[in-house]
Amino acid sequence: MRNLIAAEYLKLRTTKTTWALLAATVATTGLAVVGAILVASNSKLNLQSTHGIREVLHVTASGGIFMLVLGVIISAGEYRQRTATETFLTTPRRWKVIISKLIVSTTTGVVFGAISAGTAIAVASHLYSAKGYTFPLGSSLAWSILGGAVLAAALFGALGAATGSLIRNQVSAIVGWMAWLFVIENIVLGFSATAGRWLPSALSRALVRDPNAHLLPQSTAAIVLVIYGVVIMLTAVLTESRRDA
Amino acid sequence: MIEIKKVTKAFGSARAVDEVSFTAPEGAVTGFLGPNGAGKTTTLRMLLGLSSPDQGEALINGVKYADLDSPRRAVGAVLDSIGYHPGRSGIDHLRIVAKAAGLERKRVGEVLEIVELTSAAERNVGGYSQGMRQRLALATALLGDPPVLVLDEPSNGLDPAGMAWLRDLIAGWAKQGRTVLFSSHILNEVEMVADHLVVINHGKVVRETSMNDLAGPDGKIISGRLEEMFFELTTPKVQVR
Repeated sequence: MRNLIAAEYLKLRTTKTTWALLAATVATTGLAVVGAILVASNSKLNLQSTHGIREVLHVTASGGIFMLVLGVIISAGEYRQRTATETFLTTPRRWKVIISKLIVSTTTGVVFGAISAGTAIAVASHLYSAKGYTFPLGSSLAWSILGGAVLAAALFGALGAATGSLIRNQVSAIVGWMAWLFVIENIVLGFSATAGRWLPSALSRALVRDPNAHLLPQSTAAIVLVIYGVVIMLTAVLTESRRDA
Repeated sequence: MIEIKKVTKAFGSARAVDEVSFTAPEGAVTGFLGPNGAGKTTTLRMLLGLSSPDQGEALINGVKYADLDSPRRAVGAVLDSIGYHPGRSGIDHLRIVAKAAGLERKRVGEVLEIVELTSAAERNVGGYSQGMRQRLALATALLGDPPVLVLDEPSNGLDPAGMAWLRDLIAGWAKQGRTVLFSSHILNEVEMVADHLVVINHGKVVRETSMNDLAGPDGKIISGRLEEMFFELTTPKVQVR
């Protein structure tokens, strides 16, 4: 398994897509923080208050969508580029491949999330001081939001890799996720805010303690996202054991 | 040694492979012949664990592919369904396979030398010709220095010089004692390199024979004899009344 995981990291490092998605994550996070600070200060919000910190930092997870896309590419990309055959020739036990990809995608999500958090801190510190505030680096609230953003990226990476293994078709998996996150989930939320809280996009917002909605507690949100990832992964493993490569 | 034992695979109601049995012995080149759609690739995919037979089993030195301890050290395979990430270099592709299989990194350089691809190794596969891709596929198959080689139409995309080079390579492997099973529909090529012959048509083995059976009294293969036999076995009989 260790060799397999190392090989999956090597696959990631040797494609430009990974670096492009990382750049997109950093740019999105940076711009989102700038936007959040401008909106907050225009509405005369105290940026150092609890509400101010949540309003500014919850957008750190906005690049998480790119990690979801990368997760899908890590798994389903093998079918798109027809590299799956070589992968299964090396590792005929396909569950090992699925789990390695899940591990690699999740840990890559941690890295993406940590870089997003770093970007958010850098941009926010700079703008806070420009506006005469001090960025509260010692605030446990700030760190719990940033930690939530790292977790959101990791779990989105896991969800992406698991669905990519299940669906196999990269475009369908990505389009399906976008439709789910941006359309279907909003429709569900419209019908029932209580039910909507249990869905992936709302869960990721709960992880970063988005102040604009009534969401689940951080820990519950993390557990539910993990359960989604495990269920999709197990379905992928079971399905894969019955189908031809 | 490769043993295919009564392997059957159906897609829907069509039996692509119907109780196929044959053996590819060690130290010999076994040519696997048949018209397009005869079931060659399906048989090889089942042998390599990429698809599972409905019945029967395919063994490599007595073991199913999925049960091999280290598949890359046991079998090298070239298949038409193998693709490459266009934005990745040939050498990185080999490094990834070597890493996943736990093979020594220096082996990458060695196989690149064998297939004469060293000078293009750093280039992205997207810019490779069909022949270069085929050489990369062969290099990948050779990474684990396997005693068994399974090649599905390995000369696809090679120019005449490349085909001659591949023939020498295949013959050399058999001389080293390896088991080589290769499918082809280029009869001329099979005639020049195979020791053993399996002909398949409509999913069934219609002839398993030694190439010596096609030789004349002087021990040389009689030119055209293989083609004659192939058409006799695979062309539908027209009944004349």
